[in-house]
Amino acid sequence: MPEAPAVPGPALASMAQQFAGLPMPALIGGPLMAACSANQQMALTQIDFLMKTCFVEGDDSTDKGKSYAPVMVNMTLSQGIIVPPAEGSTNPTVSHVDTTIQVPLLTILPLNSLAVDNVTINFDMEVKSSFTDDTSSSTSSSTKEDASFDAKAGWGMFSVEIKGSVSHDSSSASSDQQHYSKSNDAKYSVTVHAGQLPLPPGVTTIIQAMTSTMAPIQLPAGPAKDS
Amino acid sequence: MGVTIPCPACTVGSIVIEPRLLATGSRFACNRCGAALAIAPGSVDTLERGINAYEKIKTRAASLVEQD
Repeated sequence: MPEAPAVPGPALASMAQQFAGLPMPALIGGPLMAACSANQQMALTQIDFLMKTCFVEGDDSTDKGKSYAPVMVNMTLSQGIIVPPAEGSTNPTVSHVDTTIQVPLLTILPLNSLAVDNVTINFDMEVKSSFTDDTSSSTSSSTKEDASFDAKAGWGMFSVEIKGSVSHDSSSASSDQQHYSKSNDAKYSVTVHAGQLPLPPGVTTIIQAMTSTMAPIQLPAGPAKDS
Repeated sequence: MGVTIPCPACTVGSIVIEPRLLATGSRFACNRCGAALAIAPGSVDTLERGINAYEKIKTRAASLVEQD
């Protein structure tokens, strides 16, 4: 099969050259670094919140280290207690008892770790390069000839009359069109989603330890004090 | 932004607390024994400071995500 003749024209854009110049490290690493930086700032903000809002620096802080005590809030616990029936009565009564308990503020606030948990980078690039050469020519020719002859002769008064006409039409057209187009289209989108992450195990342990201390403890029965 | 804590009375049930409502004087009961928790009047300011600080870090976190 004979090879198609090479069409003269401008060189098409090199795909490899187009993509080789892309700053891929910046395109991919930039959003990831920004997400890491945001997460770091959010973590520092939460630590600052915990230490400044939920804890107070203790008085026994020394040069070797600081001690922190949790900020406590007083809460009232209301519960019904069944009172045994009094003498002469068979019906027990229910009385409400209010107990004041101290609860760490840390256990009441809805702490969570808010952080960027998903980064989606989409990069679409389209390189278009095309060359077209259209050549068309058309020639049309038409000839129209018309002739007429008329002669007239007469006696007495001599007269001769001759008429004739010739027409010729011819037309030709040719066109040559060359079209070269080149376009680059790029779309770059970064989607960032922030969600709640589980609390670090250390913080969870602290909260659980504090929560467990909320339950009232029962003191052993002792001699009644005279009021 | 509810927080679930174990019931201090029965230690079996749990109490779901809404901190913002708790600061306004609402009471939250245990789903097991019915014991109710309410904030003591003297601790309302402390609780509100904590809630406001928490709202600030939420706003701060949201702004960090938008900047990204």
